[in-house]
Amino acid sequence: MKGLLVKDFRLLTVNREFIILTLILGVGMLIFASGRQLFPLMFVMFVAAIVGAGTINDDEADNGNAFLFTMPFSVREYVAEKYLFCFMLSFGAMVIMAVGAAAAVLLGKGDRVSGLGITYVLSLVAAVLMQAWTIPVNLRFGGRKSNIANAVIFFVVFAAITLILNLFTPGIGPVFETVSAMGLKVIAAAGFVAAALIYAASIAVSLRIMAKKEF
Amino acid sequence: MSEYLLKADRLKKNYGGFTLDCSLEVPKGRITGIVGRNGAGKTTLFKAALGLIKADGGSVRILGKDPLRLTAEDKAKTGVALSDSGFNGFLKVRDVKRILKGFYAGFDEAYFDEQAEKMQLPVNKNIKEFSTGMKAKLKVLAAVTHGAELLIMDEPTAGLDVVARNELLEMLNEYMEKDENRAVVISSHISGDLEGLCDDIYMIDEGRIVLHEDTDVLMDSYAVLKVDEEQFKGLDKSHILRVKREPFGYSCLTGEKNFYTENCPGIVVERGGIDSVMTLMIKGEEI
Repeated sequence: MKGLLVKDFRLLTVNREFIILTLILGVGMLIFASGRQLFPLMFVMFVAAIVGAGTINDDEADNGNAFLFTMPFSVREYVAEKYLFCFMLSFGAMVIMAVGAAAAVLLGKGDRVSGLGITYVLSLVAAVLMQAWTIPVNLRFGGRKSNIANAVIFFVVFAAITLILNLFTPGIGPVFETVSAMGLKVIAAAGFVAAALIYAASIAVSLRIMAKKEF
Repeated sequence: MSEYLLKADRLKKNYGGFTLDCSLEVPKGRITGIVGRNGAGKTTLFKAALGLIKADGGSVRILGKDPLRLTAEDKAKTGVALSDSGFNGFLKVRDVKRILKGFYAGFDEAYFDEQAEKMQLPVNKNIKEFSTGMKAKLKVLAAVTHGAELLIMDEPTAGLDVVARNELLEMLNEYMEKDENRAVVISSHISGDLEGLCDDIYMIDEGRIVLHEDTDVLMDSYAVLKVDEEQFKGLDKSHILRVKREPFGYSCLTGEKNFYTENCPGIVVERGGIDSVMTLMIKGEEI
């Protein structure tokens, strides 16, 4: 796995201008848009997730996977490394933004500090969930096709949610009331469990995709 | 482990109209060549042997194991250069060195540096900006620098000039000289590369092995007899492998050159060579 991580971090330098620009924009928004931490945070972490999953396309470029998969690692290690690498990027982005937020506070431009911790943790969970989507889609469809697949999947999911909400409108109110009555901690715990299950399902799907692949 | 580092037995793979169906053995201590036209099945054979594609039938063992069950430690014992695949073009030689160091415990950094300098590979230039020769050299260098037991080289000399080809072949010879238990299997459509390098040669066409012979035997015992109609009628055909109609009469491939030089003094007997043997094995007809 070490070799795979070295490869992906070396490939990351190809996009260094884009990454630096994203971080400058993110930290800039933190400093100059006091009180609006969530948007710049999500922006930077989502970009990190997309860049991380993009290394799957880098591996596939010019039929590179054929040679890559002759190297000493298994399909399981490859999949695990992609999830780890993407998580490291999002976590790194979160840390950089936290440092940026602290700098903003010191400069007198920042928002209140209390309550920011949960915002950062939730943003990391959201970024991880995005990776749970982008990694299997990129593995399955590759570079150009994955963009189309993402759009189609997003449309189908959005349409399904809209349809369900429309069909069950009378029943939604009581559901929300029941959920609200559970309290924030229970909702947060349920959310984390749901996110963990989605993440695990994503890894299982990615392993299945890669097990069927030929190079 | 078996004495064969690579062994395929009736290995089958179907791709639409193409079917690979071949057997091959690569023993320790030998350089085995595979020669065939483009699309003959050389790359498919290698990919099946490496577990990059799944075989549809037969069996293949690499380092004594099913390629789909190779561990990372097993894979570290192979060095591979593929004709249609390599490192990402945005990487540089210095990146490749770090990646190889991360993958292989036995990576010889000093040898890599020494050879990269000898081959004049630019360390800080993107691989996509390399010439064909530079890319080929880097592929072979990456394969030979971690002490692999088996090298699988798919068309490593394709598109190279004579000097670059000789440098690569010299590197493969050096690799073999370091350990007698190593083996190399190399494919090429440039017969000269294989004649000077390989201990034995497989000829493959349309997914099938049409001939397997020791290189010495191929060079010494195979010959092409050039005969006119009359000579052909009177020719002892018991040692003729293939016959091809020509404007002057017939070209006849034999694996018993001495038989015809001694018993048929009037006919033209030309040295075989891989190209002419290959051509007659493919284009010629069996008697």
